[in-house]
Amino acid sequence: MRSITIGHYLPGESFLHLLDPRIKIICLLMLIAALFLAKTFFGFFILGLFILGAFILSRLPFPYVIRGLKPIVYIVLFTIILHFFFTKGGQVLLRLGPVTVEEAGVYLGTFMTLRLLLLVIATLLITLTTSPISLTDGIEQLLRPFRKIGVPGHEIAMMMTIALRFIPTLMDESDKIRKAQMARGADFDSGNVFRRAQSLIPLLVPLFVSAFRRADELAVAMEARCYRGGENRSRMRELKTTLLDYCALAVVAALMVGIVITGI
Amino acid sequence: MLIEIQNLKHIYMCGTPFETVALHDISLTIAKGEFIGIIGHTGSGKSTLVQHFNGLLKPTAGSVRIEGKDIWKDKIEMRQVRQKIGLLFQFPEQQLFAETVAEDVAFGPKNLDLPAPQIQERVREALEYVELDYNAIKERSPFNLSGGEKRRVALAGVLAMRPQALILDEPTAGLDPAGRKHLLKLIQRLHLEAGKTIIMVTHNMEEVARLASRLFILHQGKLAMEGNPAEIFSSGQPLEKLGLSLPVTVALMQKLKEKGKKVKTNVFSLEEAKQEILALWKKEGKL
Repeated sequence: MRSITIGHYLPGESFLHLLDPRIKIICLLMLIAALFLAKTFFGFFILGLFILGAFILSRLPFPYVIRGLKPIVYIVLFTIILHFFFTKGGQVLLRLGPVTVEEAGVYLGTFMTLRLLLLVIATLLITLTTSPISLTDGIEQLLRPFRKIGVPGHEIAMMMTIALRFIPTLMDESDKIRKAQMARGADFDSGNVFRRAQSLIPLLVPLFVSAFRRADELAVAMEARCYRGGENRSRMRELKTTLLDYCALAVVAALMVGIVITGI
Repeated sequence: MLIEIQNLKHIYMCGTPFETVALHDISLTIAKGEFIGIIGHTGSGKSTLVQHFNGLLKPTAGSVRIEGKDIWKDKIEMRQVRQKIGLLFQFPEQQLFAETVAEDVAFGPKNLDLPAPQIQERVREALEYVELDYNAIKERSPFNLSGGEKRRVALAGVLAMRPQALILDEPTAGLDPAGRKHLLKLIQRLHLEAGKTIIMVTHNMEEVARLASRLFILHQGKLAMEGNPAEIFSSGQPLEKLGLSLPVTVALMQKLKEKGKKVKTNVFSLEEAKQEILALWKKEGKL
């Protein structure tokens, strides 16, 4: 089974789990802003400490966060190599024939890598502690003020909910079809790139057929229950902000403002 | 022995918080030419179990032997195992993908790297075996066929591999009564005429009681009972604890017996039940 996706929500009762999703999203946005506004390693150190604190509060198993970092390994390597070899300035630290690694390159490379890593870890902490449903609920509510300028918040959130809801279904389905074709001697794991791409046809065609069929069925089922979009729609679970939420918001806001004002 | 399973254990998503034990310490053997029924409640592990028979799933512990060879330890090609043991998944019409029926059925033989004339020969043979007209259907799109036809094309797709054994996972699910009857007849023919070993997973008691020579009953990932239909269904009571019911004919005969009538209870087809009741009436002078 490969139905565990990156950033899969882990149910729990920790402080981070219990925060209002709207607050979590705003905090994440502020944290990302702070990461881009920080100018020194000391700024990153402060932000890193804060994210570490949030991780401890989340009571998530450590391997989970590390596993979530796997997909960005190549981006990180790419960033490092690009900066090390192509950003010039300052002292020459290493000379390999015509290629030089210079001070500014090492500095910027490390800087960008740290920024990227902290960014992804912060985002992971949110997706790992927030169920997809409450995350989209939060997004919908946050987009509400923008409805006046024509942002269809409810529809966007509904599309996200449906997409997220169908990821495991489609994973199971692709797993089943893959096995069915393997039972007929299909081989998805060997041969060159072209052969492999071609071998995906017997997997992708049935998957698309069933995805369209499911979409049709879902549309009918929603219409049968008189779904008409977001107007006058009430909800079963109202989001509630508590004192704790405001505290978290204040702390992150203070952190961001502090970073901007001191210029670290 | 065709298939030997020893102390098989399977855990899904091992090592994560979502870990679930699907199969627990299962040992069984299946000989060539048998007609096996695997029954169990939803979630009892039936489908997981049969996917071990042709190496689609790797056991967490225990061994799977096909014709004496351990398919995970001895060095043998998995493709050969899958050629020998064909598997038709539940709702197999969902796996159809090609532009024409002939191309879809040819998928298996093509993967065996057979020469073109042989592939065509197998496609024709397989389609004719499932009682579809080769010339009429070969150029049609599999997506434009009826439900029953689609399923038979999918079955042909597995038969074109010329497997010795055929695993069928809920082959009649979602078919109308006529399609169900037709498909069962085909399966019976594959067993009797073509001599194929059949392993049928189902929760329909009537079907397996009539067709199978041996039954395995799974309950919560464990092998709860094993034996021929007469043995299993005459034990009566325990079956209900496993979330299963008796075939209607057996249930009827047992009710009659409880009322003091002298009838035999291991009756698995409507026709036999009719004969039994007519005989009873004659004896009581009601006819």
